[in-house]
Amino acid sequence: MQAAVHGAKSELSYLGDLGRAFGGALLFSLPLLMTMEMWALGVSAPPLRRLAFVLGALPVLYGLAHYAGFSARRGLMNNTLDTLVALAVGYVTSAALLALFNVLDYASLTSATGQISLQAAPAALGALVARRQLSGDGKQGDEDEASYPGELFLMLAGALYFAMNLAPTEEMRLIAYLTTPLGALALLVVSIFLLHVIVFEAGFAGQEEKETPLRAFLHFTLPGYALCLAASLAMLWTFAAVDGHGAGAVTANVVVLAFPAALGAAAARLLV
Amino acid sequence: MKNRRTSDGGTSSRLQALCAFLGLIVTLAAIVVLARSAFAHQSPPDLSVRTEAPRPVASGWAVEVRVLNKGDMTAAAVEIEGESEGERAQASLDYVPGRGEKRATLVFSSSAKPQARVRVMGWSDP
Repeated sequence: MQAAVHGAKSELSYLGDLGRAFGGALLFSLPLLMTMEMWALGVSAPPLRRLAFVLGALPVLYGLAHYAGFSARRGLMNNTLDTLVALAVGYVTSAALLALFNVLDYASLTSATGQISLQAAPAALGALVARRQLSGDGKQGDEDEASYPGELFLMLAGALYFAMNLAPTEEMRLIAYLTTPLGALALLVVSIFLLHVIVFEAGFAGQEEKETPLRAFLHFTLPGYALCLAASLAMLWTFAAVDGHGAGAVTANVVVLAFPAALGAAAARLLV
Repeated sequence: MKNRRTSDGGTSSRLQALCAFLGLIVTLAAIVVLARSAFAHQSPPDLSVRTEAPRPVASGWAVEVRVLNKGDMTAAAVEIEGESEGERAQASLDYVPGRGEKRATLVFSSSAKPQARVRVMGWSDP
């Protein structure tokens, strides 16, 4: 009897977690769900890259399940379950909304699957960080004890999310074409400066007492910015945005996209 | 928080297991569909058109055209042209997905029912 009551309580509390997960998925994926380039990319992005995107999202989501996760439990089994549930939430959210907007391309199975899959990853990411964002009790999760690689991982996740949000848009390419080499260089300096200021000011738990600004710069800002560049390049590659570009044009695109990515990397510490 | 962790720690929610299973199935299905199209031999776009019976509209006759892509790869910026008794009509489609079809409409201003000859003029890679 007691076990049954306990079980029902546990199911009910999980239902709350699930509700928050859907809320987070909506919050984080809506900008992309309402971006027309994303609808087209689901169909037009090279099939291998669409697949690489979906597969590449899995370890990132697992990492986020470990550091944020939308239920309070941890461990290999539970992180895996959280990741899979987040994916279910992501797929359901993006499929339902794309169908509601009537932008799904039913012409072939691959096209609709591609469209939903591209959107499901950011939605799943939102589902995983939902507990932090929407539950009010901000002190849950393990990231306060996050190791150095863990901190870098969170920066990478933030960079990937912001890069993913902006990489599909035509404006990124236009800015990269319009900006001068000096402008791109200035943007690079501004990105690094902001990343450093936000990271250092926001403070990595247990780090800021020991870290001097210079050490923090070498330990977090520089590798963090390198991750931003990598995240930007990965997203541009996924969306076939810089195919056929020369080295200079690719660099300009990467640096322009790394600016929002750097802000995302810095904010990841504040958000997650 | 501490209570939750201990109270939840032992028993895993059945709802969680169910949702996780759903996630596994959906994700695997998506991966399989995408992998099949990624690793299968990709034949280039192969477009053909089928016209439907013209129907009268305010400005003349509308001829609905179905553009079928028998290839595996997507064709972008597809231009369609129709000709009927010297009059030309054009339409363009953003995409025709591989193994899929899209619709377009050509309009002819003639008063007589048009006998349209329709063709795909060209397309580009997405």
